[in-house]
Amino acid sequence: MKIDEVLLENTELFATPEVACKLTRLLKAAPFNSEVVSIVHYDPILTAQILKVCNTVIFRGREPISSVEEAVARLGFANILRIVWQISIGERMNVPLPVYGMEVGQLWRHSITVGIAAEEIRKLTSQVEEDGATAFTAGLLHDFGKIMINMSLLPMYEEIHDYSRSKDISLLEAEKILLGMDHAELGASILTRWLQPDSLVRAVANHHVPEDPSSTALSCLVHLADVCTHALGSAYGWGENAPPAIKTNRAMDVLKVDSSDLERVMIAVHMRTMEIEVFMSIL
Amino acid sequence: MNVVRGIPGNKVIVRMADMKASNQVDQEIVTYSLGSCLGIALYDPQIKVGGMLHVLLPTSTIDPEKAGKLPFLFVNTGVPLLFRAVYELGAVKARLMVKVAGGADMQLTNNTFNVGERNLIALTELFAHHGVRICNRAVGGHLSRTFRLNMATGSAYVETPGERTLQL
Repeated sequence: MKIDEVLLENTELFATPEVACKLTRLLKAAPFNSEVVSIVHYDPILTAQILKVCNTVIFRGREPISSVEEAVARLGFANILRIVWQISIGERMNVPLPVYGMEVGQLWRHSITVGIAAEEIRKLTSQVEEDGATAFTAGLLHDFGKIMINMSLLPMYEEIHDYSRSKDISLLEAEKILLGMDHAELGASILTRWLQPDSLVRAVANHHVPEDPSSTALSCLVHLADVCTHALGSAYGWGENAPPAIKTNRAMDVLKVDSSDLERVMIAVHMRTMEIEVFMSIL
Repeated sequence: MNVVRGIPGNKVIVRMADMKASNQVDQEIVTYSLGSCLGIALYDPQIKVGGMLHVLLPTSTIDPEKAGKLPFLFVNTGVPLLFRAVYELGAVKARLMVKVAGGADMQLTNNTFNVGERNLIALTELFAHHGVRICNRAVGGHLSRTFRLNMATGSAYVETPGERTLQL
């Protein structure tokens, strides 16, 4: 079965997270709070979940909030968008991925961490047009394609690993040879189906190839966020290789950041560990 | 606070940018998710005192203020505190077994983001300066490691998903 067919068959897993996608499309337009609220209200389950997160996590111990209007007013659009994405795709990403040697929770934790690292790198560079919320979203979604690859390769994953070992190629290269698409491209194709902004799609598609001419500054940013997160010990998959220095250097040149900047990003991400734990716990 | 005295229990977890020292033989000190970070374990077999540190970065010069509050973030500020903690429990430098794990993604090129290698260089230099010898280590590669220290024997174990456990 072709990988795209698998994609279409699993409509539940790949169903569009409508509210998150609509809000992301609005990012550039700087919408009024009332527009944001009306989109969120479209999904009553999500609305209840947002209120729960706000009251148990974000505003815990303070005056409780009782409506999305209040949540948007107090947190702002960017924060609401982050919460909506995390609620909308958390369950789909909080799964074990045997093909990548990942236990349940690992991909989800890695994704949140890369999102936070992306947001922190965005604070240090003026070379990226998109804002911190988009950087976060790109980081959060960068490995979404891995869920897909995991599903389609699961019955033969030992063969894939033997193949990548015998040919001395990375799992990423093996994905491309065996399926015609690697996890980055597949993740991007899902975002395209979800009608997400082109900048987000390209950032996800190229997060392993910052040196490619079609890569944008945001692709480079997600690449570096991934590198920083790996350095912090998060979610190394089997059969992966460290990105060669040439890729990382290219991404650092594009963003005009140096090693000390990335070390500061590692510290900043470490300081936000509690935030990561909180989001892990709300699922 | 980092010294576990007289509190028996099986597992003592060293978090990221954290350190624990112990003299309890029924304990195991463990740290998870070592990527480019370094795990450093010390053990005095004569009196069964040991400790472990999980540091992120080579030197505190990039953020001296943070180092004041969180000394275990850095090799140069964390390692001396680990030694001090085991000395306080009676360990003697000449008897210490020193084991190291982590430092993943070492790039063999200069002038790039190279935390794994820089961590190891910082540690090697610090040890050379103080005459400390590493007796065993598991470093480099592109992988995440779990590092355990058995307080009864001083044996250390390195676990990597999908691979055999290594005894250091």
